[in-house]
Amino acid sequence: MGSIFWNEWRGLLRDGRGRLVFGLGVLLAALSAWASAATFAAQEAAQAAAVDTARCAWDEREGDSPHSRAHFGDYVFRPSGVMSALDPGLQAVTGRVVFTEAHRQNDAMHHPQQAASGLLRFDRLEPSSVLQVLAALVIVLAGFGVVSAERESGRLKLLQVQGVKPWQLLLGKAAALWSIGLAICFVVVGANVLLVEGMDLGRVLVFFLTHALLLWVVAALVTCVSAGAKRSGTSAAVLLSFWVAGAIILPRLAAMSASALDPLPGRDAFQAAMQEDREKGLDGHNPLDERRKKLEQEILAEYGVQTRAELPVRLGGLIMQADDEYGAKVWDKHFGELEEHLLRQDAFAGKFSFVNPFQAVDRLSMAISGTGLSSHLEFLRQTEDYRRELVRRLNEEDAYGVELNAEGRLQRTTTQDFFLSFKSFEYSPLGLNELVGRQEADLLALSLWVLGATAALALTSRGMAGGIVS
Amino acid sequence: MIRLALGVELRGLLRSPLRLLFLIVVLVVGWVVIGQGQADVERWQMAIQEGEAAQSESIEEARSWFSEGVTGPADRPWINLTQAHYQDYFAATRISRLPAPLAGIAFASAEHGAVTMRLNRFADPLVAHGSEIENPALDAAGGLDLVTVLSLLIPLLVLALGVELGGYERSSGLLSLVRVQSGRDSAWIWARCLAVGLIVTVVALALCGLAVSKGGVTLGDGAPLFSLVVIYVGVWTALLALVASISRDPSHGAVLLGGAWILLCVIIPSLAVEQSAALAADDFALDLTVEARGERGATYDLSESDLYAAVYERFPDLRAVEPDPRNAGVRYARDGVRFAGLEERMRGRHALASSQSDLVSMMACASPTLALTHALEGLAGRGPAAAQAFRESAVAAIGDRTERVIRADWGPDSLGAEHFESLIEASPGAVALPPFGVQRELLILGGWLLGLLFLAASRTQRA
Repeated sequence: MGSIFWNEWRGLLRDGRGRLVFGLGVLLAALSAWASAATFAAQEAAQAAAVDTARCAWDEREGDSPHSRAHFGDYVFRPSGVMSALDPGLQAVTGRVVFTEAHRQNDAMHHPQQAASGLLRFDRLEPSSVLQVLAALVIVLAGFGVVSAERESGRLKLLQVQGVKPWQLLLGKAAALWSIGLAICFVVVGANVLLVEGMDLGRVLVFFLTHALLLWVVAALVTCVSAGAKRSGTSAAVLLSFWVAGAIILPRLAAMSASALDPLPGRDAFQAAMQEDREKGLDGHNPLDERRKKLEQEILAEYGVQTRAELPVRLGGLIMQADDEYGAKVWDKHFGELEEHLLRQDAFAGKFSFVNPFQAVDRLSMAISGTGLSSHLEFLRQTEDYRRELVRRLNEEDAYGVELNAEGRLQRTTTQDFFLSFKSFEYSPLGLNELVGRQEADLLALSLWVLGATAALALTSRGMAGGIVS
Repeated sequence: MIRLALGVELRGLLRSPLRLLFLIVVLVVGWVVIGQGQADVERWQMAIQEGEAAQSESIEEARSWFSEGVTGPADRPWINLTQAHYQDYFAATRISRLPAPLAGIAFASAEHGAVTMRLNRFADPLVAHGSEIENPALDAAGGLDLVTVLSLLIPLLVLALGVELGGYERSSGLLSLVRVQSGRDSAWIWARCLAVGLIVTVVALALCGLAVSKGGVTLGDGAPLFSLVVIYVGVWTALLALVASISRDPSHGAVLLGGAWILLCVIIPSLAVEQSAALAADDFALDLTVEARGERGATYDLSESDLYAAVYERFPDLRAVEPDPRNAGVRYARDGVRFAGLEERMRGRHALASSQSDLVSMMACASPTLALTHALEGLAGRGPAAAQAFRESAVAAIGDRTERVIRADWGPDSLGAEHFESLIEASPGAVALPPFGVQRELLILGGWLLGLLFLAASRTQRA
């Protein structure tokens, strides 16, 4: 079997077409690793600079009341995460900036690549795409004639006469094809580990293994199809169709079906529903609002006083906080429903993983890299938590950061140090176990594909031994 | 000979279940995505209607107060419609981006610019969101619409129908037979290629015709779509002819055609996307966010003379209605300065976006698929140019609104219903974007077609 393995490699490197395909594969892998690492470094530097700029604007501002500072707000700039160098996932289509302020939750905005939206129809040449799409293609192009060419040239019979068992032949050929894919995998992952500082080696290993499994599926299927095809032309046509369907067509079809069968609400309708619920709460800025008046009475009773002027705290801050807490509940309800909807659509698209191994690995790869839908939603959730904490502290300072002056009136005690005590938003990425745990269906699908491809290889070799495939 | 070849190809198609299945798949997928595209256009129009309904509620509310002879509602006593600020607020008409006649063909575009936005002097079209909530997990898949079908599946159909062409004749010895019998073996290969091209052209034109009829577009308006698609199929047919002239056997032909498809439809576009990501890497929109907020705040630090100088630089006609005393008009003067900042940011964004658009233009030359995609997105009014044109219209309308509001506040007359109505009348409402010119893309595709035909012809002559 070892000699079959090495023979395949020798054949690949001897044949001009094989050298071209393999050489191009390795070149694109190296190019992609370099380009991705450079883009990641530029993005990280720009994100850090943006955070600094926003922080300076916050720190240098003077003379604000806590409430006006809550309206001044803060900007959150999405960090990419170190694993995004391997798989940037959804980052090209999600907004990078969120404005956090009092009373309202804003959507993530600014997708700079939209200025080249026509290009976004196509995959980026990122390391994960190179492994899922190009490495698989290299295996297909290098291997479509791996058995059928032997048959066409009559060498297959010669090998059988020499005593090579079909399982040895197929396993040797499949292992050789797999090793071609693994070589590209090593180049891509190895280059990224070298070029990008601070890579999480545990995640990198899982990333490598996941792609190695996909490449095994491809290598085994290529060997089976080549063994079953009477002519190399037929094998090439079938395998290229499989590749085109899996890598290009099915993911798009899955997305279109999910969107058509379970459409999301329009932005206006979503915001109108949220506004309707919001209006059922109190309006902190409207002194005539009935609910506000009721809350005012409750606060006066709590402090045992009759009028606002007698309160030892600023009523406005307490009312604003109550207003914001109600707004947060409304957001939790509506965003919770929207999040469920997004996940439901994603889960529907994920069912295609059972018919398309490329999609299973793509989804797992994004999860491992922390750049999938779950991570995006987690980022939005943490941003909202940050907003609430920011606004709560400012509202409380607005209410309690006061003292009675000599004339018996409230005056602010808020100093610049209070504003300087705020820290910028920091994103805590979800752990690997949690992220991968949410992709159970994709894990199952990939396992089934690995088992199925291996079983197909075994059945094909048995068929060859029995003369069914000859 | 072409009639003979066409007969052979049609018979071959009917006899080969796989090829027939692929053709049916292309037609069915095309039919489904055209339907989806039309539904998307209806959602677009619905978003505009919902916006207009919200606008008319606000306008009717204000009109009712005027007719009752009051300046605002009893439960919100701070509202005073004799003030320019509240007139601007309640006359917050919508400016909407009308869908282009062929908008449905590119409904999966990643361009999610706003289609309708509220128009008042505080609006910021540069950060406005689109009317749909997108699921990034689905967006990232790339989308399946008629543009995808035409740019990716149609070339595959050419490949599927012609994969064995030339190679089969050569490996089976048929070509020698044709040469001996008629002496025109190359003409036979060309005729077969042309026959495949004709079949695929009919399929592509049928899909385009359906999209045009569903979109209610005249044939004249649909002509650029038809022309682009015919030339694009021609490019792939010429590529087929080139491969047919050199392929030794069907396997060789399959690899060459598959390789060409992958290079032109996957690898070159991927390189372009990678380059686009690199260009966008350091853009965190500080100009639209932190700096814009800072600029708005800085208007409060300007001295009165600087403030008025800045307003007059942008709105010179306002000198004629300068308020007396000057400090009475400071609040609205700040709005004028803020608007000048918005215009400045828009120009800056335009310059930034041009590097992306230059990249697309350059890469379109390297791949006919990119050229076609770019042209079709433009025809559908979904590309960045359409979004930019809408933003420019919106900013111009905000400029006009801002000037009117400042003039109303600074002017000597007290404001009433007629001022309010004039604000509404002066708002542009729906904006139809200028038609997208596809001449450049037609030239690129024409260049590809001629180049490939030349290569195929010279190769055939050498053979």
